[in-house]
Amino acid sequence: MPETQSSGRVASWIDHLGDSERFRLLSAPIAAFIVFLVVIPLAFIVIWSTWEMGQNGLSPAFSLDAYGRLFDTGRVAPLLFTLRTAAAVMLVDLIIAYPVAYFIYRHVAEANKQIFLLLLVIPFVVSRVLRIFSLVFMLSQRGVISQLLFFLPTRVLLYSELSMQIGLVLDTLPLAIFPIWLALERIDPSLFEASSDLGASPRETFQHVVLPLSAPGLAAGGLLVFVVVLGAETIPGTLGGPSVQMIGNVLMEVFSSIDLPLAGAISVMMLSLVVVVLAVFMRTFGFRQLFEGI
Amino acid sequence: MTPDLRRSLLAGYTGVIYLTLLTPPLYILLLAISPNPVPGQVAHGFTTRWITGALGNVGLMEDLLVTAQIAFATAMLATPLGLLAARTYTALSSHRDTFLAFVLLPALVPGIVYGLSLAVLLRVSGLQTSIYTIVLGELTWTLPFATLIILTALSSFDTQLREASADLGASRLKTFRYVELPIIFPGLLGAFLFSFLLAFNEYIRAFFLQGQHSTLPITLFSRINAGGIDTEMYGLAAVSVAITIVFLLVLIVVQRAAARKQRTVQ
Repeated sequence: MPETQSSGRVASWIDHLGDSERFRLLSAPIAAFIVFLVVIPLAFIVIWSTWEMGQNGLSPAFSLDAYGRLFDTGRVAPLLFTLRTAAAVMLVDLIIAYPVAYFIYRHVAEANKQIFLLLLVIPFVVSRVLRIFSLVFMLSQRGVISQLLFFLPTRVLLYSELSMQIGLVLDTLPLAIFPIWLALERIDPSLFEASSDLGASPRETFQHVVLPLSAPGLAAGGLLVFVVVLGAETIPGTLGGPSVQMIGNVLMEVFSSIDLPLAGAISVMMLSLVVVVLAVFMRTFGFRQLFEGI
Repeated sequence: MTPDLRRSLLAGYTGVIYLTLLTPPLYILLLAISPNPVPGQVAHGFTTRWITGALGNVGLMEDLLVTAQIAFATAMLATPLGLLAARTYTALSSHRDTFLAFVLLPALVPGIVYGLSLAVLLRVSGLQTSIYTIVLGELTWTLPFATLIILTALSSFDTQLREASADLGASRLKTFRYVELPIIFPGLLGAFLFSFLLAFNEYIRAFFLQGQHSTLPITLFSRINAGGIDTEMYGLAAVSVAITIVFLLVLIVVQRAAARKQRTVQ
C-alpha cells in the first residue's frame, strides 16, 4: 500500500523522537484521562463534602457538619451491615467459584476454554436491571425456585436479606471466577506430575502446590467482589425489600433529598474503604502476578 | 476417589453453576415469547406480539438508538485509549502496579459514587449533563476492562518482531500498522465489543449523568419501578438481551478464528 506523503512525514517524525519523548506521546492521553476523569472528580468529593447547601445548590464553605450528621442520623449501622454483607458474599463467591475455575483450567480443552469464559460474560453484560427482575420472578411466591423449595416452612423468599444475598452472589460470581482462572492458568501443568512423582496424593498436591499458587487470583477476585458489593444499590433496593439498608441505598436516599454534603461525606467513606482494600491488596499481592511476563 | 469420578463431579458442579448464572438473563427471553407471560411460571406457546410491540414504540426505539450511540462512542474512545494504556504499562520499567491501579480505579469505585462525583463536578463547573457526559462516565467504567483485554492480547505479541521489523528498515508507524496491529487485532475487537456491551447495559452512572435523553436501562428501571412490568417491557428486555447475545457470538467467532490462525502459524 503506498504511503501518503503526510503519513510518511508523521512516521519519520515519530522515528526521530527520543525514547522518553515517544513515551510521553504514548502516555499523555492516558495521563490526561487519569488526572481529569479519575483523580479530580474523586478528590473533589472531599472538598464539596465540606460545602454548604444553599438555595442555589452547593456553595463553597468549610464545615464538617455533614460528617457529624453521619453519626447523628444513624448512617453508620448501614455501613457496618454493608461491610458484613460484602465479606460474606465474597467468601461464598470464592468458595463457589474456585471449583468452576479449576475445572475450566484442568479439564476443558484449550480450544473450548474461550467459550466457557465468554458464556460467563453473558450474565455480566446483560443489564443488571433485567437480571434482577428475572430473579424477582423466579424467587416470587409462585416462582420456580419457591416451588422447588416447597418443603420449607415459608415459601416466600423475596424481599429479605437472604434474597438480596442470593442476588449479590449471582451478580458477582463471574468476577470471582475470572481472576482465579487467570491465576490457575499460570501454573505449569507439569507441576502436577512432578508432585505426584514425589509421592504426593492429589489432595496434598492441591493443598501445597495449587492453592498457594492461585492465591493472587483468589485475592484479586475477592477484591472485585468486595468493592462491587460495597457499592451495591440496585440489588438491595429491589431484592432486599424496605427493611434491608445497604450504604448504597442510603447514599441514593440522601442524594434524592438533595443533601449533597451528606451524600459527599458518605461517598468519602465508601471511597476510603475502596482505597484501603486496594492498598492492602497491592501490598500483599499486586496485579503484577496476574500479568507477569507482559 | 478416582480421577474420572472427580472429573465428572467437577463437570456436573460447573454445569449447575453455569445453569444458575445463565437462567436469569435467558428467562426474560422466554417470557417475551410467551402468549400469557405469568412471572415465575413456565411458558406455554409462542408469540412475537410483545417484541413487535416494543419495536413499534417510537419512544422506546429512540432510547434504544441513543443508548447504542452512547455505547458506540464509548467503545470508539475506550479501544484506542486502552491500547495506549496497555502500551504505556508495557513501556514502564517501574511503578507498573501503581499505574495499573490508577487505570483500574474507576472500575473499582462504586458506580454510584463515581456517577455522583462527576455529576457534581459538572454542575459546579456550570456544564450541562447530556449524552456526551454519559459517554465520559461510561468511558471511565469501560476503559479498565478494555485495557485488561488489550494487555492480555499484547502478551501474545512477541516484542522481538518489532525489532526485526525495525532491522528490515520499517518505520515505527509501519511496524505498528503491518506487524503489530494484525496480531493484536482480535484483542482490540474484543475490547471494542466488550466496551460497547458494558456501556449499552450500564445503569447507575448513566442515571447520574443523563441529560434530556434517557437510556434503555434507565427507561426499563423507571418503568418497572413505576408500575410493574408490562408486556411491552418483556419485548424490550428481549430485544436488549438479544443484541447483547449477538455481540457475544460475534466475539466468540472472531476469537476462535484468531486462535485457529495462531495455531496454524505455530
